[in-house]
Amino acid sequence: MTIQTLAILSVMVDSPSDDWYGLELARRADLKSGTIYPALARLEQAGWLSSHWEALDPSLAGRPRRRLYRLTPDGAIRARHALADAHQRIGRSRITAPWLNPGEQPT
Amino acid sequence: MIEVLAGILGVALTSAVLPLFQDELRAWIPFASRRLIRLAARGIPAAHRNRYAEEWSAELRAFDDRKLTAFAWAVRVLLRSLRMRAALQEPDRPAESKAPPQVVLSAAEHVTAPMPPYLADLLERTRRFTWAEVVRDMDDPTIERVEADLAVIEQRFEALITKGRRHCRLSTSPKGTPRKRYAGSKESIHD
Repeated sequence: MTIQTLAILSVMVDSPSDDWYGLELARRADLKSGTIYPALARLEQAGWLSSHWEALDPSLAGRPRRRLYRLTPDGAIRARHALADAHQRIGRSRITAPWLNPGEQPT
Repeated sequence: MIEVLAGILGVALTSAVLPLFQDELRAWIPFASRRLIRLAARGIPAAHRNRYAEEWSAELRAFDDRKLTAFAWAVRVLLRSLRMRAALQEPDRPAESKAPPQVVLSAAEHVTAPMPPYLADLLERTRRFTWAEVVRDMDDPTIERVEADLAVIEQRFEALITKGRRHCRLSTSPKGTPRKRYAGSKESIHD
């Protein structure tokens, strides 16, 4: 799983029942806007996310309706596992890095 | 005397042309952004095309007056559109970091655009001559580099336009060529 996907999931897991549109999600995940759509598409295709059109009348709102994304119940569980796994792996790689042990120099 | 008259004429012309240029730029950028979005939507499978075209158009509107930021966003969407295509054709692999599959594009789907100089080596090596093919084979660091360049271009344009609005003054070069120079900036636009 890419860092970008993990960043998206970590934002969404914090508020699993919230709806997010792409730009807002990119802003909250501190990702470059415009680059997150492939990750969102992959997650949606795999059933981790669902999406729906914003319920508004564009003529009354004065803007087009947005596509909103939300974690599915299954996706929320899998996302938590993926994030925990990533944290664990990051922690393990730091601990086993040889140059972190006293007396050893990086090669 | 002739130089003075040419200078006055240059000042008069540029002061008339500059607002027109700015108006043209302001009008052109949103058009170009919408065009890029349509182009990006054309690159993804037909079943998803309308949905993403509408989604991206709505996102584009959210930028309001930040037209250059919106343009850079549209370029990023276009750069990622072939990854998008791969993502939509590959339903079961969100958690794997495997390379996207090779995508065969028809001639109609190829996008031609001026190539940034640093991509020349890649272009020469691959001997491919369309932007779409080069983007498809880009690795993440290269895409990050393109995006970083876009951010710099975006900042420069925004700075130039801001300065142009408030502090533009006109000068004449030693050769007599009228040019616009922006206060506090080494950058100038030659007529």
